[in-house]
Amino acid sequence: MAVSSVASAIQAKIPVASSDEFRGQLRVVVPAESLESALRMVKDELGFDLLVDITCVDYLHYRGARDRFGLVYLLANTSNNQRVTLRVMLNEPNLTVPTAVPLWEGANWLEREVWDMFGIQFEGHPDLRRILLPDEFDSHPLRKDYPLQGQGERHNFPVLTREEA
Amino acid sequence: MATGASRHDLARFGAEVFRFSPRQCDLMIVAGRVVMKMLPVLQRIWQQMHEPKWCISMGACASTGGIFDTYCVVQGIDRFMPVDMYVPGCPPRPEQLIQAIIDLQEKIQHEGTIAGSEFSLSSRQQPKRALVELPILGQAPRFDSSVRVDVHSTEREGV
Repeated sequence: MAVSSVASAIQAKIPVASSDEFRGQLRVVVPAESLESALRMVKDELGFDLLVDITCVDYLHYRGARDRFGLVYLLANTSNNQRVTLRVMLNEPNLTVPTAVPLWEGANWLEREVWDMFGIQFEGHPDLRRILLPDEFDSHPLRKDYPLQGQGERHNFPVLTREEA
Repeated sequence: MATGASRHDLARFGAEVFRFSPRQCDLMIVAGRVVMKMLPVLQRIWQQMHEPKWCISMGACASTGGIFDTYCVVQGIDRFMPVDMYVPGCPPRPEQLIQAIIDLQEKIQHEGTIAGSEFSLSSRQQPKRALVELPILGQAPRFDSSVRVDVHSTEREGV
C-alpha cells in the first residue's frame, strides 16, 4: 500500500487536521478528540501493529507555532515495513488525552515518561506515576519554561559530614 | 577498571582488593555523574561503610558535575558528602587515580582519625606534596627541580 493510499484511508475515516509526506513517510495531525479512534483505526484496519514510541514536543517559543504541545505517536506496520507519525496538538488547560494502553501494552511506560517529562495526562492509564524522576518531584522538566538548572530540587538533601556518618 | 588491571596494576601501591559491598570497604571511589535520584542511595552506601573510611571523588563529573549543569545532576558530591581526595580529568588517567590513592595513603599517615578534628589545626595544614617528576632516560627534566616548594618530597629526592 502506497503512502498516499494510507493517507487517503485515514482521511476517509478520521477528520484530519493536516497531513503531509516527507521522504516517503507519512505525517498526520489529528485533532485531540479523534485521537483514540484514529489510533484504533490505524492499528486495526491499516495494520500498523507496532507502537514504536510516544513522545512529545514543546513548541513554546517555536517560530511560527500556534499550539503548545505536539504529542507524537510513531507507528510501524511490521508486515509491509511502513511507518506513520500521528501527531496531536495540545494547549495548556486541556492536556488530557485518552490512553493507548488498551491498544498497545507498551504504551504504559511510554505514556508514563511523557507524563513525567511534559505533564500530559493520559486518561484511563492504569498506573500513571513518574517513571524516571523521583516521586516527590513536582514539575515537568522537559517543558521549555522549566529552567535548565532546575528550581532547587537538587539542593534539599541532607548533608552528611564526617562527624555524623 | 584499567587502574586495577595488569597494565597499571594498582596492587603495586598497596591497594589491591576491590570489594563490591560497602560493608567490606574503607575507600569509596565515586566515578562519574551522580544523579539527583541516586544521591540518597550514595549517601546510604557511605553510611553503610565502616569507620575508618575515605572517599575519592574521581573525575570532573563527580567533583563538580562537569558539563552536566542540569536540574538532575548533583553539582559535586562534596555538597552532600565528605570527600578526601579529588581526581581531576575527564576521564582521569589511571596514573591520576593511582596518584590520588598514594596521596590519600600519605594523608592517612599524617593525619586522619575518625572525627578528623585535627584537620582544622593550622599546624596540620601542610602544603600538598607536588608531583615528583619521574626521570625519563634520555630526556631533560621538564620542570626545574630547584624551585620545588613542598616539604615532604625532600626524602624522595634522587628517586
